[in-house]
Amino acid sequence: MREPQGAPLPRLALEARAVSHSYPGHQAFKALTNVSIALREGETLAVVGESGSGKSTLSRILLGLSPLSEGRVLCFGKDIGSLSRRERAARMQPVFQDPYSSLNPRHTLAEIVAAPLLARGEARASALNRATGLLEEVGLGSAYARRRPSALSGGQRQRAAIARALIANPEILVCDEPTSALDVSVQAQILNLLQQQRRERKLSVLLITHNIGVVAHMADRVAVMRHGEIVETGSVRDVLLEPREDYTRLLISSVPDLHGGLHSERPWDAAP
Amino acid sequence: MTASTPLVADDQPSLSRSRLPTAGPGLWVGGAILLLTVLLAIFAPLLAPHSPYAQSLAERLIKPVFMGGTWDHPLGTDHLGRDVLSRLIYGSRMSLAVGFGTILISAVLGIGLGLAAGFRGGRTDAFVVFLLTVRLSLPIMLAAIALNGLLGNSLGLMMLILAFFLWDQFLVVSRALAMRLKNAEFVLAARAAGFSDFHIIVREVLPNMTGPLVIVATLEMAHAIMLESALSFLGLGIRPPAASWGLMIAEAKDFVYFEAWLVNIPGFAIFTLVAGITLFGEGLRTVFENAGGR
Repeated sequence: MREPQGAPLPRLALEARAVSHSYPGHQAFKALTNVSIALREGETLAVVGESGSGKSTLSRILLGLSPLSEGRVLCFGKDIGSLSRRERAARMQPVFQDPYSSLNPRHTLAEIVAAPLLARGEARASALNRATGLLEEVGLGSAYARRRPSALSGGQRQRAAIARALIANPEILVCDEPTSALDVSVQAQILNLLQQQRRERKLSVLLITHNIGVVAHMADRVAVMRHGEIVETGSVRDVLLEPREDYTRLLISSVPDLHGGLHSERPWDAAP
Repeated sequence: MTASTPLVADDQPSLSRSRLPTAGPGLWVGGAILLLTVLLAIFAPLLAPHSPYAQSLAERLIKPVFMGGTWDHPLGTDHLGRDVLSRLIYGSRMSLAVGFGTILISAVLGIGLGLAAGFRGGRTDAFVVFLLTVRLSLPIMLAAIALNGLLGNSLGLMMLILAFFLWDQFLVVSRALAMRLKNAEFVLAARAAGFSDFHIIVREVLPNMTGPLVIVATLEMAHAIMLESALSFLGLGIRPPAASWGLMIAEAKDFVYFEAWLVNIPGFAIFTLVAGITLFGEGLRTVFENAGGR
């Protein structure tokens, strides 16, 4: 692993230590093997890899939403198993991939956004009020507060999902492919909104993505995942400009090139 | 707070409300029959021309008006001289009470078990599936006759016994939906927001199950009304002199060859109500399917 030298490192916000996870079944599938990553306070760490590499499983384990078979997950030094659901909620919040399934179709936007406040017992009226304010802050007018998700476009829904993640002032945001279900034209708007909120709120962001362009735009450091293992970690500049692993090089070369088309190779597929 | 990003014009903002999906005529015909029966039951004392219990042996077996009877007894009188129309109107109360009461109890039982099985999985699921298998292996009518014989008969007991046999569809549907919904991202988001499992089930998951469960409820209600009629016909349901459509058929069975209308009228009432409820349920299914399965 390659880390920048110099200034003292900020404390760790979220850390996975030797995490492994298997999905049960007749042929148990090992989704994660000995994964260790550390998200420092105030930074954006991207976890990048192709579909099926275990990124989403890792994000759910880090959020405490899935059990882990082996290893530990620490949130500001405390084992997340020792934190209650509310304590976890106060420190970290997710933004999921699909805004069409991450918002309950039966609730209004204000109710959806206010959920983390309502869950910790805040009075409904004031929670809904704050939710309406935050909807405005993420670029949706207060007129949207009483609407249900079905009346919104994908980008608008994702803005609401971001508002929900921000309302309880968490320190950590875990974004699982926050733009991959959106139109290209909307992706940049959502990424800019995330960047802006990260700066204003001094958030630590774990960004799960398969999009190298998003990594370059958003992240300070990057961890590359393949088949449930971390194969390379380092600053975005180092990893993207001087990748050490063949797989990382391949991921980078898979970015569509408008001039030369796709020039992806999969040497391991041809292996005997 | 100030808007830090311009008010979005994102990708096509679609603020129009989603339209109500079109339903076939079944929904309206079935709904009208059900509504009419409910109104009959509620306003029975106002609508019935006579007391459903008043006997008059001098006026027994008067034919209905369409078979040459009089307008004093539009649907005729039974073997004890009781007004058939009045008994029919009061009998709707029994059918609806059994229908609604039974589905209420069986829904609580079936949905509770289905949610527990679907959400917890593992041994809880295995145990609930075992209970389901046991239930499905019981012949409803025989077991209901045995229980009625053992425990006696009253309206409350009838509902309990029928509910004991009619929770399986609620369980199957709610279990399948719970399995699907427990990993839905909005449920994960609710967990990440800090809500308890109980809150998540009641506020996040159950509201998303109402469509399919209402359909199950209507179909099971029709089933319960049929079973009540059958048990009453066998003398194991509602006791005379109370008015129940099944009981009316049972009391008229001795006259079936000579005064067939005495059996046909309550029989037609049962058929109409059950068909109406079924049509209503099927109509709702169409509406929910058109709306995208919710």
